Amino acid sequence: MNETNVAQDSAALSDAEVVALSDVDGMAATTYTDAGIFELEMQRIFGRAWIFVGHNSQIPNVGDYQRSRIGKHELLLVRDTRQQVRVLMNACTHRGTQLCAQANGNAARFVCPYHAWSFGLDGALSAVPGLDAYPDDVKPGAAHLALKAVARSDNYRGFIFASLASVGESLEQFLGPMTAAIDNLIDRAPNRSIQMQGGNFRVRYAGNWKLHHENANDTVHPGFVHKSSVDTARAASTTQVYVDGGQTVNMMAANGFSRREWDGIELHGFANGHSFMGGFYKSGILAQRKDDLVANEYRAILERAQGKEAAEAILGMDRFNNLVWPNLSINAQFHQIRVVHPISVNETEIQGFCFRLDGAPDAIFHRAVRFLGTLVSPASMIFSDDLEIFERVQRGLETAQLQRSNSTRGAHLDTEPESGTWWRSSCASELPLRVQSRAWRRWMCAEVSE
Amino acid sequence: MNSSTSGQPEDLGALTLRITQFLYHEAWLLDSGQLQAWVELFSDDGMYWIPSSPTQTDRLNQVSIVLEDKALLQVRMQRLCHEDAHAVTPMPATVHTVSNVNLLDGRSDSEFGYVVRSVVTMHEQRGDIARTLSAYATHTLLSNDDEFKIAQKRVDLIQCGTAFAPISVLL
Repeated sequence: MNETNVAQDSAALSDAEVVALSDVDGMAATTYTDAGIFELEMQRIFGRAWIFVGHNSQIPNVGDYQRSRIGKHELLLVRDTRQQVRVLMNACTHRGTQLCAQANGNAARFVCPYHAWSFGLDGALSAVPGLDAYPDDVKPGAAHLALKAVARSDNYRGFIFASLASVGESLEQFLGPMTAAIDNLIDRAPNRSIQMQGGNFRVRYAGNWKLHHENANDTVHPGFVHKSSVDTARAASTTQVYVDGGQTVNMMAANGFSRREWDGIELHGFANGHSFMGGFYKSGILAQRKDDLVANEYRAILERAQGKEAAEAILGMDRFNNLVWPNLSINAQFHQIRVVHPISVNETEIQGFCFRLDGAPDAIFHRAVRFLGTLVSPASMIFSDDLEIFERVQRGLETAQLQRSNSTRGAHLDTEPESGTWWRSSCASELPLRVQSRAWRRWMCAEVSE
Repeated sequence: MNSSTSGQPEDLGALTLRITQFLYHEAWLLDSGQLQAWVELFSDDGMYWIPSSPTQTDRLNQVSIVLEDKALLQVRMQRLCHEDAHAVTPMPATVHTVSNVNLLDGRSDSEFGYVVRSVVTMHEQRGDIARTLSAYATHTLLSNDDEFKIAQKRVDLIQCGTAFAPISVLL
């Protein structure tokens, strides 16, 4: 772990080199293709920033554990005997053996399969068979042999984040205005609590991790990348009764917004790389259908729980695709999140999860489950086209001798930043890419600027 | 439900052979790109299901890799045939190998049809990238006038809990 927020690495780029690589007008191609730069990203971005590692509801009881990861590091989230969440490295301190091979479960202690060293739920070494053969400093309770913990962990309303750097901004400072997306997701639950349930998907693409977030708030690509699913959905019978009530076809068609419809949407970007789309309800695109009985019942329950005015505000929150840079995407309306895991410079895994809203009708959760399947299943008719494009971008950057990506679209439409950190722009703008390159520069320099 | 025209119960061996031939035919439709003809193998209320775990029984509270009725399968196949379906440009070439065909239930004249388990391996070649997906397939087949229709096909991929590259051609 870094003892300070200044990166310690041998093959470091100078700050001047970092600046040269990360122009707001376009990232250097090598930032997507160079294995050395990727390693530095793992140290300076994923080794320092607050990274989402899990949700409280994954480990509700004492002894519950869940495997997770930050960059290349494999973690164990554990609920210890004092109900505290521990974020530990999933490796025995004896010979480095991976401790837990199951994705999740419940345990009284963690016993290494190699020489049976045992660790308590707080990570402390609790037993070593054949202790008399080891030197004196190897013994239960030895602090230097406890499971390594991440330098810092914290949660924002049940969303657990960890940082591998011991100093730096707080989680709330890091999230900034993106806390509103988490608040909104939780507020949508009549009982104001949510459960991560329903299973999850992991899909892989042969491309750099940055490509996912660069695409997620790009409002121009859907008309081209998703043309096949939009056209097919539009051609589908409108009288057909589908097993999912038409949800899949409607989601496919939703990428076919007209230019006029997109024009109601405004992009928001922040100096630390986060961004979201706003104005969906203003433009009437996501207006609720009057005959949607499930939504009507849910709205009535939420109104009873929170009051009519509050329910209106909660359901009317018009942010979409809340991107927390570098690797979390929050979709509050449909109770979903996505996490981007870098595997190598040209290999990335996306993991998608959904939530049950406590107190909401079961059918609302069924829709969230269906939404996750339609969008993040490896057989998705929508996302598979995005993943293909990511791979083609990667191949082009690796092979075509391009110096830089180009992210200048709509720059003349960006407003002056409010309080120096918050830009707005029209829907057609590549503002999200420009704030992401600013964030990359900020984290990749030797010292992270405030 | 018995297809024998003589009125006598069909011999189990003959029935198994006829079902196996049907599964081979189904595999060939997928391999040869006759995707609409493949969808037509399903009964009007037929379902196609790839669960997200081998023990999954709940289709509403648990995600599925694919859970589609005949109408959605038609939509899926139409998209694959769209000229701008990037994920299948180029379209992968596939070989579906069907084996271990085992008639589990319905050997008599059950109105619920025949339940058949088989093993399917799909070799897929897309450009220079090759991969293999393997599954246990469980068909519920209805028999009408010497013709089978698929009432349900459950495909338990042994890869279901792992990290995937996108799946376009189904098993």
